[in-house]
Amino acid sequence: MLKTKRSIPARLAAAAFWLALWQWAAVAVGQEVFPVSPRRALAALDRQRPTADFWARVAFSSGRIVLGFALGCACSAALAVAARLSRTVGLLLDPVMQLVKATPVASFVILALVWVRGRELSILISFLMAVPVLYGALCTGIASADAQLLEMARVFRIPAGRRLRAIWLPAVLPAFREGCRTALGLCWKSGVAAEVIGLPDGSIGDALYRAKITLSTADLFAWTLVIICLSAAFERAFLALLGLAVRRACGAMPGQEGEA
Amino acid sequence: MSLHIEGLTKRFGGHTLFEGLSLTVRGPAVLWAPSGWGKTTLLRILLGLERPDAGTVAGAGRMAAVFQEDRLCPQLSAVENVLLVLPGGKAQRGAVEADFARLGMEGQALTLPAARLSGGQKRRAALLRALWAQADTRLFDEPFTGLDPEAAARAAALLRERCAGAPALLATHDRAAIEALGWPVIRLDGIRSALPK
Repeated sequence: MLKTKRSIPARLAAAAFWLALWQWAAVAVGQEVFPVSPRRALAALDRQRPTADFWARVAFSSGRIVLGFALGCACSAALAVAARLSRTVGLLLDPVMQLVKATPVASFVILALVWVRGRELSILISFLMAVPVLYGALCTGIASADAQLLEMARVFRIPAGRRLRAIWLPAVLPAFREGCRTALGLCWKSGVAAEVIGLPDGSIGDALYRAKITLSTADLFAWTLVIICLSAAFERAFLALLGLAVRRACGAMPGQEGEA
Repeated sequence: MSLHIEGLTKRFGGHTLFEGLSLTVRGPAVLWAPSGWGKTTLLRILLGLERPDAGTVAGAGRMAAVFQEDRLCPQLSAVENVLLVLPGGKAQRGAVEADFARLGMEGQALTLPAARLSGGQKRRAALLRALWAQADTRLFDEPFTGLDPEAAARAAALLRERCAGAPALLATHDRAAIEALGWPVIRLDGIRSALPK
C-alpha cells in the first residue's frame, strides 16, 4: 500500500478544521458542561500546567505505563524466541495470547485489584495489553526471516551475535516497530482506564475521575488532551530511539537509507 | 585434506537424481552435468543442507559456498557482506576492497547496501565472501551468473589463485570460464563415480 506523507501545513489545516468544528458545536449547543469549547479546555490546561501537581501526575502515570510497556517488550521477546525454538511452547502460548487480547480491560482491572495495589495497577494492565500485540509482531517478524540467509549463516558458521545483527534484527524490527506503535497507544488507553478504576492518588486517572465527579468537563478535556499528547510523544520518542538503535546495530535498513 | 563422497544417492519421489555417486576431491575441480542433473542438490548435500537417501560425505571440514542465489544481507554493503563471515573482519577491509577492485568494483558500489547493487555486483560480493571465508572446502554453484565476459575472466583468475591446493567444486555451464579456470572437469552425466586428476 502506498503511504503518502502529508505536509505539516496540510496537517495543521486539518487540525484547525476540527478545532473550528468543535468550537462551533460548543457555541451552537451553548452549555457550560458539554461540550466544553476548545478555548475553555485549553484555558484549563494552561491553568494546570505550571502546577507541581500536574507534573507529578504526568510523571506518576507516564513512569508506570512506560514501565509496563518495557516489561511487555522484554517478556514478549523472550516468549517469541521460546516459541520459535519450540513448537510446543508456541502452541501453548497461542490460546493464552488470544485470551489476553480478547479479555476486556475492565475485567483485568477488577481481577487485578484483588492482588495488586492501585498504585501498581497501571503497570500490570499496560504490560498485559502490550504482551499479546508485541508477541504477535515478534512472531511475525521472526517467521519472516530469510531462510536462505539463515542457511548461508549456517554454512559460513557466522557467530550468533553477527547473525542477530545481520539477519534476525532486520527481519524482526519492521514488524516489531509496528507492534510497538499499536502497543504504546493501547498501553496509554488501558493504563489510564486502570487508574480511573483503581484511583491511585496522584495519577492522571485519578485527576480524570475527580474532573468527572465535579462535572469539570474543561479539566476532563484538558487531561484527555494531555494523555493524547503524552501517548503521541512517547510513541515518537520510542520509535526514533528504536530507529537509531537499528541503524547502529544493523546499518541502514532497505528503504530507510535516506531517513534522518 | 580431501573431500570423499561415497555411494551418494538422492531421490525425489519416484525420480532418482543420482545413485551411488562416489568422488574424491583433493583439489579444485569443475562439476559439469546437463541442466536438471541435480548439481545444486549435490552441492546442498555436501553443504549439509539436505540429507541424501544413501551414502556418506567425509572430509569436508569447514565449508564456504557461492549459492545459486547471491544470499547477501540486503542492508549491508558488498564489503560488509564479506566481512560478516570473517572473524575480526574489520581489520581486513582494505584487502577485501582491493579484491573488489580486481573484480572491477570500486567507489560508491562498495558503500551501497547490497539491495541496491546490480546482479553482477551482487555476484562478485557472493564470490568474494566464499573466497575470503575461512574454509577447508569451497563449493561454487554457477558463480559466473550475471558477470560479463571480462568480469568472469577476472573472477576465474582470482578463483584459480585462491583455491589452489584445497578441495573446491565449481558447478557451471560456462565453457569460457571452464577453460579460463583450467581445472579438471568432473562430468557427472552418464557416470556414477569419477576421480579428478
